[in-house]
Amino acid sequence: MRNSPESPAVSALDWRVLAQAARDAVNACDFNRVRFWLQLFFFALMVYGGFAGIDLGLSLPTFACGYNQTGRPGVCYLLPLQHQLALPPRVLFGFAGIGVLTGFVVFFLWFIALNKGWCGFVCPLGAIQDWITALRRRLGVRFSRYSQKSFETLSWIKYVLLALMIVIPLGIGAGYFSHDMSAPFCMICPGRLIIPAFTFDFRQFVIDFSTPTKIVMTVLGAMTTGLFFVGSFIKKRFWCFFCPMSAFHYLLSKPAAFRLIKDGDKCTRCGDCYSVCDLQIKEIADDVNEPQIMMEDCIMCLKCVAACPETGALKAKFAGLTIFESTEAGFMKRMQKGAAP
Amino acid sequence: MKLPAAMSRLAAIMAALSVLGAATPQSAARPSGAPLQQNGRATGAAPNAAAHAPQDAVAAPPAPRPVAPTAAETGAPRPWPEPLWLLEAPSGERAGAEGRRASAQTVRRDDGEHRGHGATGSGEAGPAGSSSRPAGDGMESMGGMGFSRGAARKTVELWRGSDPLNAAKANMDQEGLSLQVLAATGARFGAPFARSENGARATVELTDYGFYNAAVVVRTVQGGVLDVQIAQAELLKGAMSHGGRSEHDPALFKPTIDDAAPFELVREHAPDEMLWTNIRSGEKAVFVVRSFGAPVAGARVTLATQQGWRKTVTTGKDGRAEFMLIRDYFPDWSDFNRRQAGVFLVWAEAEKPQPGALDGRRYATTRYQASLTARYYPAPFDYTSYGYGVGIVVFVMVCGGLATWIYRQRRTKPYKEVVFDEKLA
Repeated sequence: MRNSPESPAVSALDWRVLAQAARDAVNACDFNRVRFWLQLFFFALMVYGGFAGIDLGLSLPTFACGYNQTGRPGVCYLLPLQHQLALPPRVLFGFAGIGVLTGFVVFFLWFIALNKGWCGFVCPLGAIQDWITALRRRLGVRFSRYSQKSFETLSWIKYVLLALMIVIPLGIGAGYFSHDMSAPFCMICPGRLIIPAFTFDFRQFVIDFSTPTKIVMTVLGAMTTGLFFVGSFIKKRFWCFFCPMSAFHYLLSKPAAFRLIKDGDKCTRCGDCYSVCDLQIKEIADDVNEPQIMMEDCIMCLKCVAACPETGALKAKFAGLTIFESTEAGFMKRMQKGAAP
Repeated sequence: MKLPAAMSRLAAIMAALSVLGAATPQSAARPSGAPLQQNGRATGAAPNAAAHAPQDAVAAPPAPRPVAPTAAETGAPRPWPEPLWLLEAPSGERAGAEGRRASAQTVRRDDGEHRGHGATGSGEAGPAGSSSRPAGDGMESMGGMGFSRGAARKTVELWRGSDPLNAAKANMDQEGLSLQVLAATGARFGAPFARSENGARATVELTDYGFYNAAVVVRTVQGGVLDVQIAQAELLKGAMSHGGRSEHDPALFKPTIDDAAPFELVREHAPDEMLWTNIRSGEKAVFVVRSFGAPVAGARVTLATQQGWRKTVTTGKDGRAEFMLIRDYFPDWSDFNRRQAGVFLVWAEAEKPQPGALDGRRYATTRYQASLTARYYPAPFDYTSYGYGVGIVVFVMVCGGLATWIYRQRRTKPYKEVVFDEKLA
């Protein structure tokens, strides 16, 4: 007896076939192109979303710069956090503390959805760095890498910046520092100058001579912006290495839904993943014991997954569901297209 | 002159004066029975049209006084009264001693370079320098981000005078004097003025985001002229972002116009003005004079800045009066405070041949005077430099690029040709 088209057995089989076909298509996709368009989409959303009336709130875990007053679709959480921490202690630890906690909870909920995928796919400053890298590649200029010793030393900077970003506002609230140091990290963040410029708002490209503190902070901001352009040109994702948001993310990343998983048994230590890693994370190639391979500097760009030739060695999972994994077929297809990640 | 004749002429003069019986601009005390209607209610107090003195004549005992001829009698135009205006107390300021204590703590806690968030106590000799709220790049106002879910309390003070720096608080009789507020939603509510050591103050709570139109009206009949003084204030419940509603909702950024007001002065908002925008010197300030919502042509509009600079223009058919807010803050550079708030006062005057009667006192003409105040801050161009900013960015880029290039060049080992000498092999 033949099964009718509505037969449950055939239907389930079809779905399995379709699902497998979809997984194969995703795993064999031209990852660089997909990521480029995703980054472009999120860049437009995070820089111009406000023009479309989008309001995602004040707790976004990415650089939707608050200084981009007209175009922002929400505000990077670091800006309101610093302002909130600068409240007088009796206010901060009083009733207003509920508002601070609420903001943090919203930030956390946003964050756990994408984990550090916010950095690799959504962050507009990250996208700008990737575009600068693409420009360098077209110009034929070779990129730089840190020595392992420099890498280990410099990787502490983001934690120092994170600590200062918290301590200085608390000091402002307690009266130890000037309000002119308000939002100290934002003052030195290149995003404050660069992101509003995409909406033709160049007001942040100024040195504020009103007080010595303002002079210092705005000069530091201009200097980091200059360094951002130079650094991003010669070093992939230069700024992400020092970003306190990245450190903040890592400290909260344990319960995140989006994860990078490594199956050490399938890893041959070929080093392809390390070669394509913009952040030079050595453990991605060397560590074959720890399945949770997302390290502190990782931006979850998933280029390592796309570059891995071993089927199932690296996987990106969302809430336990594999959404992208390394496959030999995918690797071969990407190599044959010359689309090396 | 014979004595009986002289006595009879004196009696005639006294009789005439008793009929007139009204206060003259030169009189210092309130004439008995001169009415003052506030928001339509007679209170018995009369503003002194010529002096800056507080309108507390009700407390003064009625006494015989010399009476001069009225303007109507002499034919000379009666001078306009000194503008009566409202000034919003700086945010965070609380009335009375508590407010001053809090302000003092705020000042002490800061570093002396600038006063911090919140406000300082209001001065007694004019509002100048009484406010120091964040201005800067517009971001400082985010200090309260996430804490503005509740109602915003706004306190306004009543002042009199055409010079913001030297004006006096109008410590008038507050009986029945109330602040009428119109919300952008169309809701109306009021708040009574309370008398305190800081003069007449009224406090309202604003629940919805946006601009509110607040006004207090004082009506006076003198010399056959009804003076209607409308002291207005544009109150704002502002925020960087708010409770699920888009911060880009243009309806929130518009001024609130009272179509039921017979005379009104409305500040025209800049196209990019939002819920946190500060007014700065160097910008254009545009005002529209309206009567029942329609523009009023031919009204005289005067703007006076904190330091006394003033300019008067006449409105055109569109009712608009445009001013350039000139810079009038020139401290020594070491004393410069970019958060220094100046107060500008703008008032509009128009006269209409509207006869009527107020509390039994007839008048042939109605004169409207509406006032509006706002705080303005130094323009960023006064203390910022694009040249230095862009220069430093470019300098770092050039130096960084050059340093990288030199570093790479030094690490590049020069090509050395190794020649294999077969004879030695």
